[in-house]
Amino acid sequence: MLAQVILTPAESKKLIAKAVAKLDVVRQAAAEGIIVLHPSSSTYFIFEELIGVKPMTNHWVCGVVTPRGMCVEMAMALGGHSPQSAEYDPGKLGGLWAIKKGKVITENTTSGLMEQMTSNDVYIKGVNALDTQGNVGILCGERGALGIILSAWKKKKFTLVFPVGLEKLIPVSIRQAAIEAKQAKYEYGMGLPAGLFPCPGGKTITEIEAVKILSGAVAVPIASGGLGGAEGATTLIIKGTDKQVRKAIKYIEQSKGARLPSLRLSNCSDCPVPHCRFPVGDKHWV
Amino acid sequence: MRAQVTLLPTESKMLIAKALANMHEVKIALTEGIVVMHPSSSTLFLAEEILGEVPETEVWMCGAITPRAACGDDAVKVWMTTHPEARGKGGPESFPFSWVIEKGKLSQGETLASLFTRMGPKDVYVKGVNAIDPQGKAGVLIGNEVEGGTIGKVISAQKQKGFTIIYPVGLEKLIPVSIQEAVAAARDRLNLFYVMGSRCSLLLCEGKVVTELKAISLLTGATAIPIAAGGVDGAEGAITLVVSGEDNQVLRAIACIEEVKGAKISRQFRQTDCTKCNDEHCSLRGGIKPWLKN
Repeated sequence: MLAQVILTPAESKKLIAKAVAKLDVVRQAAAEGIIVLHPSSSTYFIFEELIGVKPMTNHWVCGVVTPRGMCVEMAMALGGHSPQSAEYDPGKLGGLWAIKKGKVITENTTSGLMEQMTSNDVYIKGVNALDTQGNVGILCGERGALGIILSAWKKKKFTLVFPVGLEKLIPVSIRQAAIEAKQAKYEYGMGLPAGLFPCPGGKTITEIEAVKILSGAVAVPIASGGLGGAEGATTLIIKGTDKQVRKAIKYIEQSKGARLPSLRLSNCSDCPVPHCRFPVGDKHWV
Repeated sequence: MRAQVTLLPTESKMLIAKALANMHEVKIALTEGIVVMHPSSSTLFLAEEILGEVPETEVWMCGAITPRAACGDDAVKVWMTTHPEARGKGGPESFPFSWVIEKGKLSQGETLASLFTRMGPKDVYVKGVNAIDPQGKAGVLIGNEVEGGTIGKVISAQKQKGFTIIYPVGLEKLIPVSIQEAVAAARDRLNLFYVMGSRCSLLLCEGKVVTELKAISLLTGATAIPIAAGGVDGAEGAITLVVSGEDNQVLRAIACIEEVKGAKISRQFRQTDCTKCNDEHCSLRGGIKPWLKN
């Protein structure tokens, strides 16, 4: 049986969230261990799938690529969850979403959570780039906490899950992109300058893996992009047995129409983020 | 010098259009021949770049991927329903909505069949595409019941007439598999059990492909490498690039990129309320699915 479907980036995030929540390692950690989620558009729906409610924090995303450029969500910046100075210890930052034995932990720091994690636990983080070999990379501003997390992962061997829609596909290898993205050497940027950090060793879940996990069907991307809100959309052919394809359609239809909350960004003129080297407040497109 | 920039899909379209307008083949066609464009969001920017004004023709785009479905602009749907022959064997060649720029003037109305009789090596045909693969090959979704649609006829005519085909395409449209693999997956469209909108196959399209990377190189000589993609709150499908080169190259690239930042599509896509749409070829006609509500 064959089907042809279209998913916008937000709908893909919802579909991928359903698949991530079904992974054995995630289910087990949700019930008996710890799941830490880096707040983002990719993990927003995963939190919802795992807990049954939307994240209760004032922020739902941290650093973001926006139409104006690279930026930090207002509540992260104003809520003290973003580095306040160049000397700031990113391990002391709070703001991560954490679930311990099925319950949300509200008081935490990045370092505190990493200390608690064991090999049975899971860290979930959205990424910014996916190459055609399935490698992923994360954009990192100065003083980000990613180094602390990857360092803890090397010692504790917990599971890393990287949900990523095909919207984030780039045509070069993550390795090459990371070499190009040496943040300190930019003479021009749009907002926060960022380097790209390759993140090997995790489970990467795109729409293709999501369809497989949820239904057993095979998804083949045949086109990408669109108009009027379908920018970054992916068009897929779904194939498999009748049962598999019907099941895939069910999950895809459940994901159609998914929406993320609106993004709140500070005005560049009164932005509290100290490491934004290329403010764009006076540019005509802002 | 190095710069980090982010372009939205619409901004990329404008940047690529600026590069196309500066291509040798296009300049020759503008002075000595004709530039024919399939109406679309990609070619709208090119027409604007060449003419200095928005083309106000009734049809400015044909089919599109929208949040609801693979759908057609209302003006084209009206034509398809009032011209049943448009769906038949001769349909693609009777397509009358190509934009033709000749001696500095834009016209619409001449059929593809007529255009083919007078197109030659000095002419250019421009068509937006729906997929680009990691090897840089392009693919076009075909909703037309005639396999290959209008672009299939254009490719056949090009082989005889020798005009240049150019495919502008933003990296928003990158797919992770080869176009050939995607073509094979989409081949059996008549046997689709389920489809969101028009049943589409995919056609491999050989020709000159111009992405943001090529556009920056053509416009400035600088090198652009994609380091990330995607975004939120209007940045969906965006591409983040590192632009490097000599100071004057990168400064020129920044100037070109800043010029296109904030670009908007100047025409409105008209999509009928699915509950009122009479397109009997659309699987979603009737609009009962929850995501189809306006």
